Amino acid sequence: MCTFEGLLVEFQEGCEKILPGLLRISLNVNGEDRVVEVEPRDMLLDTLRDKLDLTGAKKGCNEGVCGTCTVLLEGRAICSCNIFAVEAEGTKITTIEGLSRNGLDSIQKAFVTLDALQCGFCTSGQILAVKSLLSNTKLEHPLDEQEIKEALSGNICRCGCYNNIVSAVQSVASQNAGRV
Amino acid sequence: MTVVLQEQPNQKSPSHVRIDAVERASGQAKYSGDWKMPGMLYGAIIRSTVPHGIVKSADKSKALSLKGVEAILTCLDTDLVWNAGERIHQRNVFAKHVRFIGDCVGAVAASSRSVAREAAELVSLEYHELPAVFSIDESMKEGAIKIWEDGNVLGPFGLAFGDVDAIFGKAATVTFEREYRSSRVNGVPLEPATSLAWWERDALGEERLTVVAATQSIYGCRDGIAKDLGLRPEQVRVIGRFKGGGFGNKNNSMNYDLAAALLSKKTGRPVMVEYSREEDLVGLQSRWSTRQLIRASIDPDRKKLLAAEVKGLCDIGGYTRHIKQGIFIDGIDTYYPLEAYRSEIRAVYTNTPATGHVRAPTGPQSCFAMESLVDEICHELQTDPLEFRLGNLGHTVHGHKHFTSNGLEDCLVRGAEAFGWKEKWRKAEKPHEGEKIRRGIGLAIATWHAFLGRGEAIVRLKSDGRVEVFTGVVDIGTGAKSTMAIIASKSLDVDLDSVEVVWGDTSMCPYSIGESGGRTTSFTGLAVRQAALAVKEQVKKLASTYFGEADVEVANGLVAFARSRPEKKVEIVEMMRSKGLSDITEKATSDPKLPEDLERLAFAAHFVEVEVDKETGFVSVLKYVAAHDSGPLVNVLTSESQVKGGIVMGIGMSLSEKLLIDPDYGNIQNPSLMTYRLPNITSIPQVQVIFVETEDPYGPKSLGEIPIVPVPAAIGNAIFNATGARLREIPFTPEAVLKAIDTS
Amino acid sequence: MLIRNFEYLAPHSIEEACGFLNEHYGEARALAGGQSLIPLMKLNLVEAKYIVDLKRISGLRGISRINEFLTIGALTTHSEIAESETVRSEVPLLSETASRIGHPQVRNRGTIGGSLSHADPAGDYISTMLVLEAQFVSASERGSRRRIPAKDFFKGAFSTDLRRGEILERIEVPIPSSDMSHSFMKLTLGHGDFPLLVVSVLGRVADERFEEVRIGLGGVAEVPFRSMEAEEFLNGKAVSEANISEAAKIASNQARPEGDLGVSKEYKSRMLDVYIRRALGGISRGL
Repeated sequence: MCTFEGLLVEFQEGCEKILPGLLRISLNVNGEDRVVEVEPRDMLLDTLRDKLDLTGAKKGCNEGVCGTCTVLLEGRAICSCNIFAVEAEGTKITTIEGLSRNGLDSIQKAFVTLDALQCGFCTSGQILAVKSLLSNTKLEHPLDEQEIKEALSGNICRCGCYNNIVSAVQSVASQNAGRV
Repeated sequence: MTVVLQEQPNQKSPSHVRIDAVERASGQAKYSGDWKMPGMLYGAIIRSTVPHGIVKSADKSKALSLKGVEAILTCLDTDLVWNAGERIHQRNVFAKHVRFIGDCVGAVAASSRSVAREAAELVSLEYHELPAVFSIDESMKEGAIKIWEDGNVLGPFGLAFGDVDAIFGKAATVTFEREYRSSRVNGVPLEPATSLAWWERDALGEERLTVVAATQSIYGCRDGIAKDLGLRPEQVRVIGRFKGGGFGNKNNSMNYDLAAALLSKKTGRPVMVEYSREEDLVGLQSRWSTRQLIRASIDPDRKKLLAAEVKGLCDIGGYTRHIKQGIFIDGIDTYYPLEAYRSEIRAVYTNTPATGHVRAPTGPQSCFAMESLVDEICHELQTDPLEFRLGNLGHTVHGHKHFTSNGLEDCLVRGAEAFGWKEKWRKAEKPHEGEKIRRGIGLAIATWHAFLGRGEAIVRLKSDGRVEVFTGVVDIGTGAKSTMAIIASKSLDVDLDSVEVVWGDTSMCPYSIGESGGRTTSFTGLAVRQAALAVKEQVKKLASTYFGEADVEVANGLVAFARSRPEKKVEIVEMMRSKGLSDITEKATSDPKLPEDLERLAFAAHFVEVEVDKETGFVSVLKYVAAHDSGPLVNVLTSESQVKGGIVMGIGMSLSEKLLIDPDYGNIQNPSLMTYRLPNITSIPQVQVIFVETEDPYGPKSLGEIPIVPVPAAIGNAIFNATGARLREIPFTPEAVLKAIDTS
Repeated sequence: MLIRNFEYLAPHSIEEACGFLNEHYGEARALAGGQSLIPLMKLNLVEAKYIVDLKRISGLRGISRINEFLTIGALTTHSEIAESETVRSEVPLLSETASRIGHPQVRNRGTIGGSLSHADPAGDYISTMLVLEAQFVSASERGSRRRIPAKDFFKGAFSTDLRRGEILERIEVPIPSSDMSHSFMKLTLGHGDFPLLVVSVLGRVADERFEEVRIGLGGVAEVPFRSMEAEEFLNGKAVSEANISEAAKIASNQARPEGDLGVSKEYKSRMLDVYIRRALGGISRGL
């Protein structure tokens, strides 16, 4: 609890006001608890890139259209350029670096093998969007092309790897289905 | 002494995963904006708010009062010229005579991005404003303001062969004439422009500049920066390893590289200049728009195309970087064996953002005019467009030059078969009253230059058996690194896994023209092959010496044995160690020249099926087959990706991309990905790519640019086939499609 | 694109949140999913001295069915609505509307309450809410609740009936009878774009006649609206192209579409007519 101009306002746990305009927050990033100092206006994307040295998420447009800034928040794909770092206080964030901690994830492998990337700038975002799709969809039926495309409609690829990206997702989805 | 080389057995074209794919897929690849240097400052560009004027004064006081501002430079502090910006009518790094809203007039370095941007906006400039012109017509009017001293119109430029007038004058021929237009579009690589620069002094006290540049050509960038800053090339080091797409915009040193270097010099600290997406759409050179009056003459009985003539006008903005004189609209003179051809192109300056190279700079818009006209001719003649192309194949260019290789016929035949052209073909018809949706098919061909040029490479075989290939390529996504590795591994008969490519750093790698014009594989690839073969020669010599025999063989994996005792195999690494050799290194420079009477071109034939909603004007691309002749391929996997990628870009150019320019101020009205719409995964069908691998004597031909070239024409032709409505301006927006259907 | 610094608060109760918003009215903004607010802040179209994050308040998120109503917490995300089996089976129009907002990343953060409070005239949900005759429940710092019918909630472009210090707490949607069909159509130039116009239709066909048809239009007037005139005309009439066209004409006449960047007024008008006809055609086929 702390006071704010006489009004009792509860801050969320873990969010510490250090200076006027500066907050210390804790995030769980890729399984690790990290503490970082941010201004309220700092976006999660800039915090990850500048303060936590996780440069896998990119700033392609800064307006939530290109999807190169995609990270997972509680397992769901979001545009990290359109969320303040403070909003993510206390949540679990997964970046592309988190997927490859114990060797490449199956999605990453599929992207590599099926050449679902060229310049690679959108790749982190694409892979995490795929991860979000596969983690949050009950795979009772095989994913059709429409569903895959819809799930990736928030990720632009200017190099035009869309065909191969769809193939990569289909390949992973069928692998997963096979295992079930 | 006879030494027998183990020949690589004949095999199908190889297909390899990109060798740096893992880095890109795991977030490890560091792009320019991912770098951090101790004490690094952030740079922001100050931009002109008037479309045409001369800067009179700059008030930095408000900006300097912000905490964290370390340096502010404007056009009044330096008149450094940016030589690589344009070939003629060059710009300064910071313009004093500004020529469009958004023109770069200065830069700020500060401790954070937000402070730098705020400060940039707070620098208050006073302009002596000049009248401005925003369109071709305004600019060409009598008495219009001169954007450049010697006038607003460049040209006329052109190419001519044969007697065009005589052929058009012949009674037995039929002439068709139409006007086609194309819009301003941009490359829009997903990584916005970024440059990081810092200075040091070497042991001798000499200045050294390092630039981490998002460039397509580290050598082009290095030489340009050195020239402009008055340094020797060796004093500048350019690092460009991972780049988020280029598409032609970043072939050399850019003004933001120089801005970063200047700010760094001033502050004594590393400075990173990063463009926002908005700045990138305004500040990077876009593809010029065109207005083309094209006419063609045919022999209606033999259905032969005899001659063509193009008169073109291009809006080139306030500055333009054109490849060579007059090349704003070209290439179509090589599509068909014409008896005569003439082009007359004028490029017109306007007070709008600058233009320059974007993937196949002249290609798609020129092809759009030619292949749409041919399609209109086919419709008049009631001929199947495929039959017409097959009846107009040629073996010469400009009447006398022969091709090094030409697979166009195979592209047409195999492409058509895979597409099912014959089964689907029916004449264009207007949709019936009740029909809301109509499908149609279209095709277009294209050629693209396949130059030969200088390349350099160093191949080093180390005593541990690993091979290092040193090349100057950047790999903006083309897979060039992998291509070089594959070439080396093939030439040396070693596993791809044992080859490492050292790249993207001028201090470590020999010269390469970089990634552009589809030249990398041809130029640098040849050098890599030569260097690798030279290493192999050395290996043979070493084997000879080792065995003390003339008759030796070197087999796969660099294993040697004397022919007299084939069972006694020795690995090259063993031989090297025994001789105390740490490495065998060979450098090759290749600079092949094409004989005067030969033409070297890549060829393509694209087939597309679209569905048009006649009530909304929406066009869906349902099926796409692309047949390409780019000679022998080094890597099928990445080559296919290049083709598909170019087609996606072409679909964007055809259906949705257009830089909207305000008619009253000349500024870009849609500098945002929300309003400049790039193709989305939901609108791209599975593309089938067919490669016709002709045996070109000089090896692989260009591939990077040609895939975008036939796309707008093919789609426009398909829309006509579906609706009977001819669109003569790109992009084919829903409104434009409806309008065409209404008026047809 | 520089967001000015602000003070960030994340209260745990509605009363605290509302109290603060009331006290600092004009300087404080409520933050839900941020998918509308943050882009506006980046363009400096909205400046706030205080941002009050509502996401730590419990009880504002979730979907439940109570009798013949679906209750949706204001901070429920578009994804949650789109993926809810309950919504999909009981109010498929709402399910479809939510599932097509923006793109997945936007849907994973954006909330129904945030979207409705933002009240963009072309917002995806609004015409749907009008046609479903939803009711919104707002809360204030004293703990009182106000029930506002959707048709009274939207006052103008970006303007709602919410009083100072009030926030949306939940949305109550009467469940349409199971024999009702729906159509949801929206015009976007690019996939995932903000809509240019939205058409939401609910209705049924009985004995080959239209019954209980409701037509909601967004993006073609200052406030989304239901075309009562068109509904009156159509209800009871036979299902036919002619009647559908006439209804579309009546509805279009009430609209005042405006041109946009790259889209002319004429095109929008034309598309409005096409979409209404297609939407009505859709329910006539019992979709």
